[in-house]
Amino acid sequence: MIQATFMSTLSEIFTGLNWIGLGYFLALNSIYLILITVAAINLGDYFRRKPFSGFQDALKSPVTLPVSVLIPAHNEETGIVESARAVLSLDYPQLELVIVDDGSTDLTFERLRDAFDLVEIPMLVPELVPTIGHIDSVHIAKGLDDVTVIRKQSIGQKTDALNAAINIAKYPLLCIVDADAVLDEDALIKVTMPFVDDPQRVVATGGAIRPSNGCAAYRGRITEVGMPNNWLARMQVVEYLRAFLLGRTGWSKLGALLIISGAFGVFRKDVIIDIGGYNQGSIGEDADLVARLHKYMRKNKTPYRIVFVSEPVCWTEVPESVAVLRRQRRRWSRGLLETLWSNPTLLMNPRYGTLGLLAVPYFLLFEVLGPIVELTGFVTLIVALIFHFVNFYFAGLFFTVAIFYGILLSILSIFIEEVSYHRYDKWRFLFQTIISALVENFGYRQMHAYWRLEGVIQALRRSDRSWGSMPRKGFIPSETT
Amino acid sequence: MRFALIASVLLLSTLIVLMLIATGIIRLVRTHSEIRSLANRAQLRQLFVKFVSEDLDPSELRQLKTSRSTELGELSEAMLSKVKGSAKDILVSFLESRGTVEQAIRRTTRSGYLGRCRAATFLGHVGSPQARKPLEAMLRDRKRDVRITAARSLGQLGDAKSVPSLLSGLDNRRRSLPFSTVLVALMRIGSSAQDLVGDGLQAAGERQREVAAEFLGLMGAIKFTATLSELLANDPSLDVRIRCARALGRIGSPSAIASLTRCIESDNPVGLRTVSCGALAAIGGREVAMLICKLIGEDDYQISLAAAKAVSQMGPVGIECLDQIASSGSPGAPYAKEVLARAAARMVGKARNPSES
Repeated sequence: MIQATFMSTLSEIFTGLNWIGLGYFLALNSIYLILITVAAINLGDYFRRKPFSGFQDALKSPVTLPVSVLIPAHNEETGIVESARAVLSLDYPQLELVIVDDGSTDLTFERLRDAFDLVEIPMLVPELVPTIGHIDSVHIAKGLDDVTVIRKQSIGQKTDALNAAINIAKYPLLCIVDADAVLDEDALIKVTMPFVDDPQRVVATGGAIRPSNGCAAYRGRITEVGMPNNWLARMQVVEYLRAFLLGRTGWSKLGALLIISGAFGVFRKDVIIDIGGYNQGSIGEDADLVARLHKYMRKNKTPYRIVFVSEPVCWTEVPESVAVLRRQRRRWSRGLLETLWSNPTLLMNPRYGTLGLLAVPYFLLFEVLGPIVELTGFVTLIVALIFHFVNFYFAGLFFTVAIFYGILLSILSIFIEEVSYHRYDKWRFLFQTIISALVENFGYRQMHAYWRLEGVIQALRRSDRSWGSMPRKGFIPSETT
Repeated sequence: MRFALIASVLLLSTLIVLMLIATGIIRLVRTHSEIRSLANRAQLRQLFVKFVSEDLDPSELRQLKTSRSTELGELSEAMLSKVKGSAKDILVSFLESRGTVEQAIRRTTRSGYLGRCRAATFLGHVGSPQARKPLEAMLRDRKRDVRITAARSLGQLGDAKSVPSLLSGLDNRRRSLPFSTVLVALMRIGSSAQDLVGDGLQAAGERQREVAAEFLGLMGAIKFTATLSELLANDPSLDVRIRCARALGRIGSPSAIASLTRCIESDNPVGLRTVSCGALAAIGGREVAMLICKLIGEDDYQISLAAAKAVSQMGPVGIECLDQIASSGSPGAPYAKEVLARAAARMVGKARNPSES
């Protein structure tokens, strides 16, 4: 009798948990559906207005703000020269390139020295924002006024390298680019257009990030867009499309952009200095910087905008092995939790508008706590099936609804990409993205949830804060070579 | 509940299939239309080349099918921004004969803002004088994109009479124009705009004075040196004063030295002092170099570095001054050494690649 009551109670608990799990999936995907819809409307508007955007004028204008492009590098010998060349050949009226070699143990500096004929100069580096690692030397390129390479001792943090670069940068806009990233020729002018259009209010902009695996490059320029050969990377193509391109476009339109990718973002230097630069020791330095920008501007009651521009593309290599991807995702998850943890006043605070009332609760509930709910949902579903607390038929329906909703969103993202940017122009690529959108739901997403959970645990234990570098394969050489 | 779940699965799977079909159809249509438009454009381009090189008989033009003639008109509109000289004249007269210009002027007041933008762009490319008034009216349009496009087109028109409208658009509180748009438009109008822009130096609006100072500096308008110097000394806005300092440096008249020298004194804001250093260096001279050198080694990093950089741009006189400071062991020595090293690296590079210099 007691056992029957116990089993019945357990059954009710498990059924309840399954309903909560289903509710969670529906809520998460519905928010994504809203974001993708907002993004689609925004993209439509962007494309209609594009012929009149006047970025050709901005290229010719004597008052277009010059940009300091900052590249932090740690053991990046494979692609650093290519990245530097890509930056120098960008379409932009005036820019300088500052590369920070943060204690590399490979040939990063030597490659740069040989490529740009570097010469050491004596330089007083001001401490506009705090740095910890000692600057060993500053080098400039012979004959090129606007290439500076800093060699500094590493304290194992990207933020320290970035702060050192900010201290040396001479122009009013700072563009942060990852060392393995390759920008489209017009990416910089397009991502800085909001500063040209609305110089009083825009404090930061971010561009789109797309995986470069499978693309061909020549002298730091993507010459042919392709799909990766590796399925793990292909699934990331879909993920980047759904979450980064459309998700961020949606948040930006709602005035609640919390993350500008560390791989490609532009910031007003004066504001970055006012907030003290990057937070030393921060793992999710990109989200942390944007969160503090929001806080600073709101605190000073200064009207401001932080904008995501979906067209300019930064191509970056994504992990092709499970081990590296796991490390990356743990880092991201941990960085996000630490950002939210160190900026608690943002949560549910009407003073921060849609950011405080919508974006931050979303990131906390669905991005940080999400993996716990997702994994609990899967485990309880399996347990419930084993002990017959729910029947197979119901469980199958639960699972199918959750999975199908996710697939629908991915296919919708592919559809919007097809209508708008159409970057993957071969039929083969279209089929590969569609298959990836289907396959990612069986294994990849569950693994991803587990890695994110690991990141949350790491954040709570506050362990291991090193550079998030990953092995690079480099680009497929273009046939034009 | 079971029914709701089954219905959800059916609905979701239907939507997925529909989205997949839609994606495939869009890809097919796009591929097909790209092939078609390439072939069509190749044919039309031949006709277009014959047309602009005046090899096309007018009777041949009249015999064209209406659809082909419309396509030729569209191509002519698209090509307007890409051709110059007599070819452009032929295109404009062809479009005028089709009544396209009048249609565009009528479209400047239509309800769809993209249509108004398109009309403004077209009128700018055509460069017809009758477009000035409608374009000036568009500077007060409720849509920002329309105002910006109209300003750009007024620049392409190149009529100096539109300068007051462009300038006043800067300080319209509710319907303003971006600084850079107006400046580029004025630059396109060119030297004929100088006098009217010069009037803008006396405008009540701060941004008008700013853009006027910037423009006059870029144009090297030497006759406005006195007015710019006066504004540099007395304008209530720091931004205007900084732009005046930069403009005076670009103009390069020695008569501005006195007012610029006052601006490098320590009681002025850092931004103004650094720009004034650069401006003084651009004017040049040994006395000026000595004046700026005194700033190298000031407590403020920005001033010291700006002064050292400015002096390094002044040729042998500046390098001589910097050498003295570098060897003196004074607080300015590190700055002098840095800019000297930079100058040396620049020179080595130029010597190796003379074509780049």
